[in-house]
Amino acid sequence: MSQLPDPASEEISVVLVGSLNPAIFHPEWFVRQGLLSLGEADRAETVVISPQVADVRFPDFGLQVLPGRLSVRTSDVSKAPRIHDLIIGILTKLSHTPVSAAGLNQSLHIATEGEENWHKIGDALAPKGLIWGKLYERPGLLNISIQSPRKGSFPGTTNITVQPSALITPGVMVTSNIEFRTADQVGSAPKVVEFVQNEWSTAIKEATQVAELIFSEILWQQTT
Amino acid sequence: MATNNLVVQSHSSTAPYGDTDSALATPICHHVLLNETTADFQMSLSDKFEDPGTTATYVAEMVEAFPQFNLLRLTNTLRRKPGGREPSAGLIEERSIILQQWDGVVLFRGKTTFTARLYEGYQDFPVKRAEIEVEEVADEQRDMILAGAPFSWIIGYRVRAGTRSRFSEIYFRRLPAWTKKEIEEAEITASKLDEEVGWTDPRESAAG
Repeated sequence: MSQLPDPASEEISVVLVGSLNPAIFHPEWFVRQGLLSLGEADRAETVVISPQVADVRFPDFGLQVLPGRLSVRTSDVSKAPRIHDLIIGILTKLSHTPVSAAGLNQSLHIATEGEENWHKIGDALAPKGLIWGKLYERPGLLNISIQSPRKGSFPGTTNITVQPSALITPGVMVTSNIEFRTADQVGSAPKVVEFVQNEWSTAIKEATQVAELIFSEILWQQTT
Repeated sequence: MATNNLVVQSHSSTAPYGDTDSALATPICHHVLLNETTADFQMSLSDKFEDPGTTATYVAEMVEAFPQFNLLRLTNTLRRKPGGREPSAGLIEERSIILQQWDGVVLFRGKTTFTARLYEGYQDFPVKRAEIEVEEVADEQRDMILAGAPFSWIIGYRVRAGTRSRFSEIYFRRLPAWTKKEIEEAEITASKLDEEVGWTDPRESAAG
């Protein structure tokens, strides 16, 4: 069994969809609520904070808030526990915030070590012979998305996208989105907290798991 | 500094899959309907366009159907710190490769060390016990080393500008305190488990 190459880039993010007030998300607010240290707030770079949008770059993660959407992201996976705690903290402090959906996302860019491997992945995920090759000359895959419904305590969908990487050539970008849609926005924040607590550890490795299967089934299987 | 002269443009993309010579895709306009999905999108380099002194990053466009979602993010490139980057994912330009990760709980704290219980996920048994130097913890977090405090300990490689170095980082978690209701529920669950297993309290046995 080969090992997945180290990603050239990796990102973990959390997105909340609901009714939010961007203006309150000032670094000082996080300190007052005990969600960040004074040092972290001091080192933050505030791009903009207004009733329409808040965009703050903290040392370890970025925060963007629009009236209908909040996202926190980091490109350093060792900081994942911090954004987990931040999201739980925000939803606990603002427990009456109506949240209609929450997504736990991972994305990674992986080099395919050769253009041939790159094409193998594209051809295996979207075979060209049946349709595309009969219609067009040398068709190529730009993007493939797979959605799977999720049941249980946190119903929603698992969404996976595979596409050529914009960062490394030849390489692929795999993204995963574990989405939970709340039944009722009223009183939904505590339920979203439960979702994050329960699904976090698997959700932040979902794209890695998909990439491992793609590489093992398409590339390594054929070489052994 | 000019903050005007912003140009909103689509971009062309060369399709890499299939055959790179021919797989040319004509302009793709990335329309991102921000409030309809929780997915995060790949920010193509060509989504960013620069004007001297001003960078506008195209975050979202849905002109016809949802005019309220028009948004251009403005960033003053002269204020951007050296090595700064887009899109915002934290200020420090580095990434990590995790080799080992433990969750931990402080048992007690001494003058220069603290003793903690360490585990890798809930399935990890028996849990480990370790004595850790207080110096391993960042200055601003040392006040948080108290009995019962949860933390994560990550060991791995940190990659910065192509250079890889080993790191060990302890981060004290900023999780909300247990509520009274959660504590009561945990006690009930523990009591039920205790009954099912059939354990008896040794102190009660000794007294009898």
